Amino acid sequence: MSDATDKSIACSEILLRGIRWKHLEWDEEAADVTVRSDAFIRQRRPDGTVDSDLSVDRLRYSTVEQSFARWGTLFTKGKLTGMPVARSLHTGWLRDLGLRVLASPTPENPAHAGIHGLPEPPPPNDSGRLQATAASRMATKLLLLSRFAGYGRDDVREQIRRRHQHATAGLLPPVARDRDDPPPPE
Amino acid sequence: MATSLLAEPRPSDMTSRSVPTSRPCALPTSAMTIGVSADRGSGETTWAGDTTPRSAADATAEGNWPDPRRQAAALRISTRVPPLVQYAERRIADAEALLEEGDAPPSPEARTACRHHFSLVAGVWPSTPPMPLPFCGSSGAGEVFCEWRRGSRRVFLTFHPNGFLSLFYARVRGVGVVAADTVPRPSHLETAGFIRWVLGGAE
Repeated sequence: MSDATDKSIACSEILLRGIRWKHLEWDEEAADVTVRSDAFIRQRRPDGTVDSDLSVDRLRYSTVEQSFARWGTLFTKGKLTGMPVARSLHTGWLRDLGLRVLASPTPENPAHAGIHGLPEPPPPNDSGRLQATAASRMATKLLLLSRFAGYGRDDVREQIRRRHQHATAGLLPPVARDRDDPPPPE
Repeated sequence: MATSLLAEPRPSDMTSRSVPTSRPCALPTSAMTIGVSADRGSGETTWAGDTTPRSAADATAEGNWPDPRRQAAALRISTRVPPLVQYAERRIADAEALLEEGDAPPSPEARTACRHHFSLVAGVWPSTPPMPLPFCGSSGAGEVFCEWRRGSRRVFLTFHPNGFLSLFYARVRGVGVVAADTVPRPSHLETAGFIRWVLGGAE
C-alpha cells in the first residue's frame, strides 16, 4: 500500500479514465459506442474554476471492476450518471506528450491519480485561439492514445444506440438509420 | 505550428478570398434557394422565425438579411426546421437530462447561437451529399460541443456559454495530430466548408 502513496508512477503503468454518459456517442459508421473528444478537455465549472487535472485510476492498484464500482454507473433516481465506460492510457505515452502523471490516493480510492499539464480550456473570446487549439489538439491526441477497457453495465451500447436513434428519428436516410435493425419480415 | 499548418491548407472555400472579411457573412439569395431543396421534408414541427434574425436590430448585429425584403423572403422559405437543427435540439435536451451535480446546462446564449448558426449552415448545404450529423452534447460547462469525424479529419464546433463560437479542425495520422488550428467566430459558410472538408476524410 505504501507504493500507492508514492507520487512517482512508472512509465509502464496503465491508467484507467472513466468516461461519463454525457460524453458517449453512437458512431453510425462503426456501429459502436465512441467517445466525444471533449471528454479529454479540462472542464470549466460554472463558477469559472477549471479542473486542475484529469482523474484516472492506476490499474496497478485497482481492477476495472473495482473502478466501475467506485465510479458508479446509475444514479439512484434512475438518471444516467456516473462513468459506464473505461478507457486505458499508458503513462509513458502521456509523459511523451509532456504531461505529468501524479498519484493522488484518497482513503476511498488508493488507486487515484491525476494527469497534469493539460492546456487550460480557452476563454470564450477571440483571444483564446491559441489556447483553444492547444486544448483541442491535446484532447484529440489523448482520445487517439486511449483504448477501450470495458463497460460498467451490460446495456451501455443499447442505451447509447437508443439515444442516437431517438435523436436522429426522421432525420437520416433510411439506409443509415436502419442499418442495425433486423430486416423486415418477408 | 506554422509549418505544419502550411502542410494542411484549409479548404479552398474557407479562405479569405471566398469569405467576406466582415463576418458573419451575409447569406446570399441563392443560398436561401438551396435551403428549400436541402429540406428533406422531415421537419414535422414548424419553427418559423427562429431560423432568421428576430428583429431588425438582431439582423444588423448578425450581419444577415439587413434588407427587410430579404428577411420576409427568408421567413416565407424557412418554415421547416432543418434536420441539423432538429437533431441539435434533441441532443441538447439529452445533454440536459445527463447533467450531474455541479454541471451547468447549455446556456440560452449557446442554444440560440447553435440554432441560428446551424440554420444558416443548413441553408447553404446542397441537397447532396446529405449533411453528416455531428456528435453533439455538453460537458456541463454551459456550452454546446459538436464534433464531426471522418477518417483522419476532425472538426469541433463549440458554442460557448456567452454565445461565442469557435471552430477547431485537425488532421490526424496514427495517434498524432499533424495539423490543427482554431477559427474564432466562424461564419456559416466557413462551418459548411469545414464539414465538407471532413467528408473528404473518407476518401
